[in-house]
Amino acid sequence: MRLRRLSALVGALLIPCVPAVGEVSTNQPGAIMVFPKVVSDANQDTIIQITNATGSRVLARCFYIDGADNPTTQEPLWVLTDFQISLTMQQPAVWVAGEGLPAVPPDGRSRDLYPGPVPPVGDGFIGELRCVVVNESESPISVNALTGEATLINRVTGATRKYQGIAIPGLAGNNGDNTLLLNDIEYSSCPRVLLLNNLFTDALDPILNTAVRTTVSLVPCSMDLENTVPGTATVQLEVFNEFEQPSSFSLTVTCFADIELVDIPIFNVALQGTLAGHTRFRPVFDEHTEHGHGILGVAEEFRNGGQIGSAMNLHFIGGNLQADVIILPSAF
Amino acid sequence: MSTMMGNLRRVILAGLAAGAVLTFGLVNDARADVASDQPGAILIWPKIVVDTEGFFGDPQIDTEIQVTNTSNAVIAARCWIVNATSHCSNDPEQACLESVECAPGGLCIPQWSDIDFRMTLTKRQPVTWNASQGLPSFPCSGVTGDNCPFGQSNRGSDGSPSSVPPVQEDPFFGEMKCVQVDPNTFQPSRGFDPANNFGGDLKGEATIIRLEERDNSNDTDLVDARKYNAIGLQATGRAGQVLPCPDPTVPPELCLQIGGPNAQYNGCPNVLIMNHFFDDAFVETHARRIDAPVVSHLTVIPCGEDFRLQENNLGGAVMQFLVYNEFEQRFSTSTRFDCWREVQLSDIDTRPGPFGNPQSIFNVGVQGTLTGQSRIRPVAGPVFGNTILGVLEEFWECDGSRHPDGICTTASNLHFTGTREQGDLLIISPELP
Repeated sequence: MRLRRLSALVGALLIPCVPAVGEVSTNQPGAIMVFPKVVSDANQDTIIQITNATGSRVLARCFYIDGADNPTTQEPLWVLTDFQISLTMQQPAVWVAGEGLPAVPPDGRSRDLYPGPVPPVGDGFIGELRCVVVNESESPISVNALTGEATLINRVTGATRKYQGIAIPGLAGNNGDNTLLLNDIEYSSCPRVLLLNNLFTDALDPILNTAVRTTVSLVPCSMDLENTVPGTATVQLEVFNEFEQPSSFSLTVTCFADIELVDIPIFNVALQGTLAGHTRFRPVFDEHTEHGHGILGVAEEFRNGGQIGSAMNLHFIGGNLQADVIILPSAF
Repeated sequence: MSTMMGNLRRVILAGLAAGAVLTFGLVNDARADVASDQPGAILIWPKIVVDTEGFFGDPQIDTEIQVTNTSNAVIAARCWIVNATSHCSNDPEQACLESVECAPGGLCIPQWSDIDFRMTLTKRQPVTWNASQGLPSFPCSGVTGDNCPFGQSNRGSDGSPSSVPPVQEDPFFGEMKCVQVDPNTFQPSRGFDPANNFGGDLKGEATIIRLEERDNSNDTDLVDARKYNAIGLQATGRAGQVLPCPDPTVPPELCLQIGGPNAQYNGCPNVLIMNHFFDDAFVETHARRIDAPVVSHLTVIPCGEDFRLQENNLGGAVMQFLVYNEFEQRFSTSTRFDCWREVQLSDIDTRPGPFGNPQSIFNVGVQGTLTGQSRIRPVAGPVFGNTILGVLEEFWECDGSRHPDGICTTASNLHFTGTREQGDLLIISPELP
């Protein structure tokens, strides 16, 4: 009997401490929430919805990252703006990126029910929003509380397109420092491959009989917000048409990339010969072992010469084999 | 001493064995890994709508379906299109949305019927079709003389061509479910991609397009589009095995267990989470240059269905709602559905139609804030989980010179959380010889 009890104890000790398994998701709450495309300019703005899905108050440090091109250098601006939001139990919050939330609650609610203030982004902003759940001391914690949506709205026509924010779950091994390791120990890793079902450029929409254009927005998973070093990733694209014929292309994403597939010849329907395609985005390893080069992204389709659009989340497969790292600015 | 060492060795080995069994069990147990962002072995499109003639006075509507094999192997799928279009009880030929559209004495009754088809997809192959037209022949069927490289074909191992039928009628409201099957036997199977943990290789989307053609050739047609990802259920290690069915009247090979103790597929979620604007909320942007009200529609379907008996004897549930506004205030309500239901949020707790909507707990006039979080919990049955899936659509007032009815739409997937002990059954129809 004693031997049996001892066997059970040894078995328990020898089972590896399996951390809670998590995967990047657009369906489940996370401890990091990424909105890969936020725009505020003369033509459009973005409505951000972010919700606390837990029964406790949560705080989050949020960062707007402006990926617009510097007109002088044509490199991404990489301008950061950070703020903190506070969400009570199950509380939803909403703001327009170009307007933010004022310091004083406009609807007269008490401050402990008010998520803001949230600064507005500047005119011409195009980039991402990233929020990290923290405790009262602003240390990152693995409380999977955040869900979110972003609605891009056309200023002129009121046309809308919507996608879901991407949640990165926090895991049991989070040590609470400002170096967030997306390594399936502190946080889930970024996906190994992103998948897109697309219609080829200038393919005629089978219902409207007009050309379709697709835009893909990609952001690197890794970034150093303390030293303001943007993440970068080389991405291999494999494109398959309906005849299973493959084509390939590669591109580099630094800070933020808004890619119109019309600019990439292999996406043209004249070359591919079929209406539909399947594209796989695979980040490439390199010699920089201090961080990975994972990516996240969303896609948009535009029909009728851009008159209407719809947004969609990319699919994910697997976990990145190289851990990504997000370094938050230290408190001072 | 040797006895003590022997005992110690036996203890360690026994512990390792126990650990391996427990870990293996953990790996194969079902999780609530329903996802709209990962390939799966069961793929579900909760809302397909067709109205190419504008029968209901709306603009023409059709749905583009996209499906892709994400793996590097040939796969097959069996699919079922469920027709939930309502008809008048006193005129079964007449489709309807509400009973007032029927002749006096008639009621608008939803139906439940299905048709099925199968398809073989080559490696990484995408296909797309309109729901109203289907896809009579696939790109690599050899019908048009086209074949994929290395002789890959969309013909089944028995030589049968792949094809997709159009939906059963026009107008049409319903859903579609596809189950990944072995390309040789056409029996349910796991996925082939180890990167996805063999959980399934099917990925899909639906784009609902509205079109109002202008009579004058100088005028631009009014168009609108919204898109959502199909929902994937991942296969467990038991998928493809023939297991005793919890319902002993069902042949085991037709019984797919979704969730539960012997899950062959991950279970549908315990709770759905819907982040939404309250109905009639005015969302202001750009210093009030855009000041548009928005309403939302929720479409729900059951996770489990019985395609063998061609009757809705598994679907349907009572849904409990908890609704939170931005003031952390909580409201609740409940409603039920039987097969497929699309409902404006304000109609969940009021009479169908606009009457009473301002008094709904989903209305901005009651809630006082723009947005809410609603948690939807279907009530479990004594045997089965009665879980559900769904999508959320928003209808925004916008420029009427560009968009049909002056309405712009979006579609989005819901969030999921939790799982439940009871599973659900997806009972497929037998393959006809």
